[in-house]
Amino acid sequence: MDSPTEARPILLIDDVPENLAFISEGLKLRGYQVRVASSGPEGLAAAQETPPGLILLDITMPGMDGFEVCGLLKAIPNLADVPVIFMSGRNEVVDKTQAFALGGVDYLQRPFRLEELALRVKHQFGLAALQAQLRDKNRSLGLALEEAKILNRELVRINERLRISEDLQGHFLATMRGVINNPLTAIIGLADNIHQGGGSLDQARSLASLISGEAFHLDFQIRNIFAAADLEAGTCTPKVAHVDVGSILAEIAGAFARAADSRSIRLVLMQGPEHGALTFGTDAEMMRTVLANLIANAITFSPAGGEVRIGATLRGSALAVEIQDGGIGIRAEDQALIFDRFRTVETGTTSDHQGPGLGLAITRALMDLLGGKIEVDSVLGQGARFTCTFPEFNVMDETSTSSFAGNLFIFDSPKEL
Amino acid sequence: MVPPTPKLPTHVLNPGMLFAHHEEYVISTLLGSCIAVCLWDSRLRIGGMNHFMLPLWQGRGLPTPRYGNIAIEKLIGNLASMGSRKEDLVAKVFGGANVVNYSPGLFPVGTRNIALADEALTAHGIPILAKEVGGTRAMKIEFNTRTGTVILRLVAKGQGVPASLPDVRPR
Repeated sequence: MDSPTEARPILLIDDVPENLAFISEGLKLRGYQVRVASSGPEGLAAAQETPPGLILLDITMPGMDGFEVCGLLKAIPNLADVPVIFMSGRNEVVDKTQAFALGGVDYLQRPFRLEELALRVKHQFGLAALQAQLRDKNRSLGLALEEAKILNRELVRINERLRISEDLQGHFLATMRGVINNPLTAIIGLADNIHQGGGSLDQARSLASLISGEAFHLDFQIRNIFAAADLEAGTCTPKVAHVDVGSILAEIAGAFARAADSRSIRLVLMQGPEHGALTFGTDAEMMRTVLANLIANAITFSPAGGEVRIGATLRGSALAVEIQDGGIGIRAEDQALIFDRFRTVETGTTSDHQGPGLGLAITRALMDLLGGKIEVDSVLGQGARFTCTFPEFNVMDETSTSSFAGNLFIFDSPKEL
Repeated sequence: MVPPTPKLPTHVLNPGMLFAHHEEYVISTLLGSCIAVCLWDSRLRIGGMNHFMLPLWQGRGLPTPRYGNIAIEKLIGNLASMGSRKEDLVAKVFGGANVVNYSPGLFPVGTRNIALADEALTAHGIPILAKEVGGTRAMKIEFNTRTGTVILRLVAKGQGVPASLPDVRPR
């Protein structure tokens, strides 16, 4: 602070009126603001009311002397850093020592010339300004360090996630072999059985039914793999049409009826054709893939004899589809992980049901493409409810306006680049 | 006014996707904080565009072109599969507007998207011929894959960047 007028005021504490007048006049002439107090308690009160930039403190005062005032000042948090210059007519080493020990920054031996006082005051203000700058620098350095730490932690987390993703990919390939090989082996074996003949027609029928079930499962998994590949390529564009939600749900429920029946699981459709038409603007194929995966999971993770409830309702202009199972549920800490690719969460007895762990990653990526969201609500041991919210899609207008998720924009005139 | 080109086949590019074609196409997209990188092969006169929402895929979910680091690699890959050489590619970069009062990280997502596009293209040595990024207004662009030209319309003043365009949540 070069200009003294910008500084905070100087507080002058002295019991001798002539000293107060003489010093304050001299400092005011040099551009400083000066406030005066004629006793220790008065000075303390003034300092607390408006924290000064500097305190000139007489040592020898009746009642509370300068040392006591200084000790009290240093105990007040927002005043502790205000520099104190002691003034005294006493020339004892012990006084000077105590003055500095109490936190004084300077000691002026009376009598002194005003020029000397002014120079020392200026010096102290200069130091204070440098200290303030240093504090600011330190604070921003501290902040930068804090940010660097946060970024570093984030980097460590990302690295870990990428490493896990790589590991999972390796695991995925191993799982895929099982996912494709096991049903294929079963299909070939069962088909051979029929082919070699010998059994009754009923036996052949039940074998064919098993083949059909295995083939359906295989087909579903392979479709998922292709869906993931398409999503990663980024080339599948939603084909928006008016979709009959009820018949899509009924169709999926029909397709999974056999899988559900085999474990006596009831599929309860709360939105079927009998509930009246519910048509909605979205991509039918993407919606089908999303819901088929969620329903397949719900069946897989439900206990035998359980129930999977599927409901669809319009919420404003959005469509919410809920799929509730009565299964083992998902631990709170696993609920964010289940959407990662190749990730299957171990929760006890499900290892015989493990697929490649693509379903929910596909589901989330498809919901992203459709501009919707998917949420999971689950308490361990009490089933899980997945809710997909589909926004109504409009067809983009190709002229001067465009719509996206129901917003209409008007554009300025174009420029060519 | 630039005359409309009604005869050309048009592809409307949605957020998180990409499109490249060896024939003449007009690729149209609407951008808020998202970035669209248009890549054009000056030798073969073919091109493609991506439209990414977040800068980096961080190992969660599928690595789709919703993320800048995936979207730029995939687009270069798509053009390479049509015979493009990287040294013939040029880029035009659009979008990255900042939604007012919406900055979940240290920098708004628009700003981070712009930085990602710059770094990725520079790393591939692909020159950026035109760049209209940042600001607070959404825009619509139309990219001609044969000529490499882009027609840009800013959303009229006062509309800002709608928060619903698109719903970007870092994960």
